[in-house]
Amino acid sequence: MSENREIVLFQNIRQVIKAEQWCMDNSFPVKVIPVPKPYSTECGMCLETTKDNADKLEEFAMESGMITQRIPTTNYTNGHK
Amino acid sequence: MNLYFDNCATSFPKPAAVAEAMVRHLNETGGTYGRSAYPRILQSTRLVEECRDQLAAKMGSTEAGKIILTANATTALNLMIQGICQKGGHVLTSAMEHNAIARPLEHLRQLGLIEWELLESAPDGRILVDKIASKLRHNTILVAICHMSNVNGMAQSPGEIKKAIGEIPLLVDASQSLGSHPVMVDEWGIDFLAFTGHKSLLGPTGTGGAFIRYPEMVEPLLYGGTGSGSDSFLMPSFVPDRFEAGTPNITGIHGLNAALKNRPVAQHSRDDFAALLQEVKRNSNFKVRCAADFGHQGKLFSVVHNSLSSSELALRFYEEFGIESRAGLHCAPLAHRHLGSFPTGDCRFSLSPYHTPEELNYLAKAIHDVGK
Ligand SMILES: Cc1ncc(COP(=O)(O)O)c(C=O)c1O
Repeated sequence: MSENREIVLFQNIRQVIKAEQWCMDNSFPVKVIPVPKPYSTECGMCLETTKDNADKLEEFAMESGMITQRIPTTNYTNGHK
Repeated sequence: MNLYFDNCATSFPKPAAVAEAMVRHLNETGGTYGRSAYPRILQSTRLVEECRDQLAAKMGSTEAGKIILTANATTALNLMIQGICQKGGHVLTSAMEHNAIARPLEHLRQLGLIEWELLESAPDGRILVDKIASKLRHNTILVAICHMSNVNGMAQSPGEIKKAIGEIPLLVDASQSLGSHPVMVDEWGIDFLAFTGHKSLLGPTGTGGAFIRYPEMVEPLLYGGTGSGSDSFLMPSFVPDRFEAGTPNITGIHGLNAALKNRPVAQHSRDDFAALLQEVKRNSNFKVRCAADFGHQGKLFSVVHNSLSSSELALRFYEEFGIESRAGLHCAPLAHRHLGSFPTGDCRFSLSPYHTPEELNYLAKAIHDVGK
């Protein structure tokens, strides 16, 4: 995956699904992936997308009262990179 | 002919899509909720969240994330009543309650945590809204009421009740109403709502839930894995996770979601139902239990005969007419005390959207003949 990709972590599963739905509705390609190992105490799914899309996604999440955390994919190695 | 008139116990039939969705989940798609991210899980997780969204739309809430999926209304009511009342106080409830509210309250009273008392009601059980203020105390922590009585079908006005109690939280048991009667959680200011999936919503048994507007006011009933915040031994503070420990009834939720998306158009009208009630009321051997005002009448009513017991009635309806009705107290002794039929109970008929006008006419004739 390219350098400018990020994962976006959410507080819970419902938020991941709502965010994924929003991305699909707005034609942003995102991938639902298992939360990478270093962050795996959080819910089991997260979204992976480009940095630009993550910006937009973060805006949506904030407006919807979701708490997110963004991590560049270069920051971890657990087989998902 | 559909002669099943016990839809308040559990509705039947269900839309065909309910069983199809459940079989598909069991035999084809599978998958749990959250926990990982492979497509099978993703698909069933999306569906669980779709179901929450459908439920929110049905109850008039914009906050689907505050809907907690439980096994039934009883679990939801226990979660909320026990979870709200842990610090003690005074609770008001109505004369028409089901034991799903009365027993948790009595349990907490016996533990020495709360006192509970009844609001004043009209003869049909409707809460006298202008008398509410005189019952409120400085330590009233909750008003818990059944929206639609499962004995006479009378529906309360939660919005008026909420106005009368102001800041005090209102908990509404919508077990009979959600699906068959308008429920407007946001507009009416309902703070907590319990519902069940297998009655008016036409879903499978083992489904139901709670709407919890103020999660911080409620202690969880169950503690365990949620697939979130797993590094901590404490339950998460956010919803729905805070109240959803353990794997949910995903197969059942598939069925409930299908029921919500495939609700049948009612095959009889309100006028057909009104005509049935009028017909039954004409028989002077019966006392008919229903709302005083038809505008507050839900899809059920019950009858007391002047000489036959409720169980004799139910037996005759079945043996002579093939009609399945329900005799007894319907788990609502408070309501029967209020209506004057404790401890013998009455014989109840509850309708489904699948009943045709012809089936209602058949019921009217059967009631007439048995009552002669
Ligand atoms: C008014 C009312 N409340 C609660 C319940 C409990 O529903 P469930 O058995 O699905 O928990 C019922 C069911 O009969 C009911 O009629």
